[in-house]
Amino acid sequence: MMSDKLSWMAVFASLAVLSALGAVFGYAPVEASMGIVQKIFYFHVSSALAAYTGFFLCCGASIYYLLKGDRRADVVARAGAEVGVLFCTFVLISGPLWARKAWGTWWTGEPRLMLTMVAALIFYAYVVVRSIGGRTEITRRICAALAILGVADIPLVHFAVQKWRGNHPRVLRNGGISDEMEVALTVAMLAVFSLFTTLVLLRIRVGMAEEKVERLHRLATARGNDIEDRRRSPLLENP
Amino acid sequence: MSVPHRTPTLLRQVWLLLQKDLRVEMRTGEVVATSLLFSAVLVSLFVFAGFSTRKAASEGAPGLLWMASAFVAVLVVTRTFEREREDGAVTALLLIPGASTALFFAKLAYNWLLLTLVQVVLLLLVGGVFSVDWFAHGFAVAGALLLGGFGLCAVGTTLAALLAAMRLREVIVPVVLFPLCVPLLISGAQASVAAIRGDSSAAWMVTIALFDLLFVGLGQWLFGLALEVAGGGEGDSE
Repeated sequence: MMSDKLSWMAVFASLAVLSALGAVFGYAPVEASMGIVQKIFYFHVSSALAAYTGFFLCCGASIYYLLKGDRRADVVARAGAEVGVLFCTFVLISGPLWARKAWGTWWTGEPRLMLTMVAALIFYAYVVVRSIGGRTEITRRICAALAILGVADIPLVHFAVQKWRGNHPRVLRNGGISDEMEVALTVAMLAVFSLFTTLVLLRIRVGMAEEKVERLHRLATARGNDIEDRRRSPLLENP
Repeated sequence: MSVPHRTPTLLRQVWLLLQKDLRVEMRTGEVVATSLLFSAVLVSLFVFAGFSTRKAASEGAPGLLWMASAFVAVLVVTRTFEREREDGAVTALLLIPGASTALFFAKLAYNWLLLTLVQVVLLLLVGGVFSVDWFAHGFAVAGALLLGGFGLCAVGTTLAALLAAMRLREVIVPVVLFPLCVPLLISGAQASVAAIRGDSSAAWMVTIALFDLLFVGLGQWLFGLALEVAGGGEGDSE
């Protein structure tokens, strides 16, 4: 039932991505000064928004998890963080590629660049802690706390880098963009967000399944212990 | 039910816990000695890496000072619960009523005190090597270091408590602490730079103070949760 909805979501996302590619390369004009490389912009900006959406989703779900202890919230938080990290990685790859062509350098001290870098680092750490810590209550709480600390940090990082490098030229707001470009951006935004939603929902479904397997596993071992106690062998693990 | 005349105030609890840690530290000198040695090694590395012979060496000095502070903070902070864990004393501490708040502020104060001590030495070392006259701008530089050190310790103490039971925590603590402290490092270094140039560093100080407030508040909340885990939640709670 749920899988059906998800399949339709996936189909929609695929179509949206295809039409976004069409709009970006077929409809929107080639930018005068930057040339073809400016096409990165459409997916770069939408992915950045998607990444931050993932991080904020993770933070919100984490707060709920810490307050209510609802495991489903933890699954949602994890999905948000992981998919957010995925999109953030794309942003951090596409950004320098674009910058190299447009400004002649891979990396500048541009505020938003540094902000995204820091957010990515914090949530990479989140994912690493998740995988090192394993599936325990302690890890879930640690990660929830990390997500809250991380997202609380974002406005401060933003403020600090703005103040530090605030006089750097603003790329996007300089000339504004043409109407065709705006249409292409909207389509790309829709595509990226439907992709994002599909991935998050998929990840949530996997997470729920993992929870269920774990619960069944615990149940099985609890029942099996009686039998196992009688014929325990050091070589036998979780029959 | 309650025994009011025998429950010490929060401040007294903090003081007693702090006293305990300070007494242990004064008898062994472990953390201070190793951190001081580490600072000396670090500053000598800056020298050998060629930072001090650059033309604008004094411009970069505040940045290096803050970087060194962050490194030392990791060193100090990761050992916050080392002794308690070795002796299994966390459970004993948890039996104290209102333990988490008192413990958080005691550990924070302890870490801050040690960090400040090391920062004084760092200030002298970096000032000497890069020939920066900190004292000409003493107030702003010292204020930023004090406030910033407090923020570093607030985040660090929280993380130390959260990650106390974690495998590989010596690596995880800096990996999480440094990105979280980016606003602090930027503001701290810029406050010092502004002070050296003779500009006002008030706006940077406000940023640092905001950071401190935010992370002391969040830290205190999450610290309580972390202790709950350390005390009761071995494995799964379902």
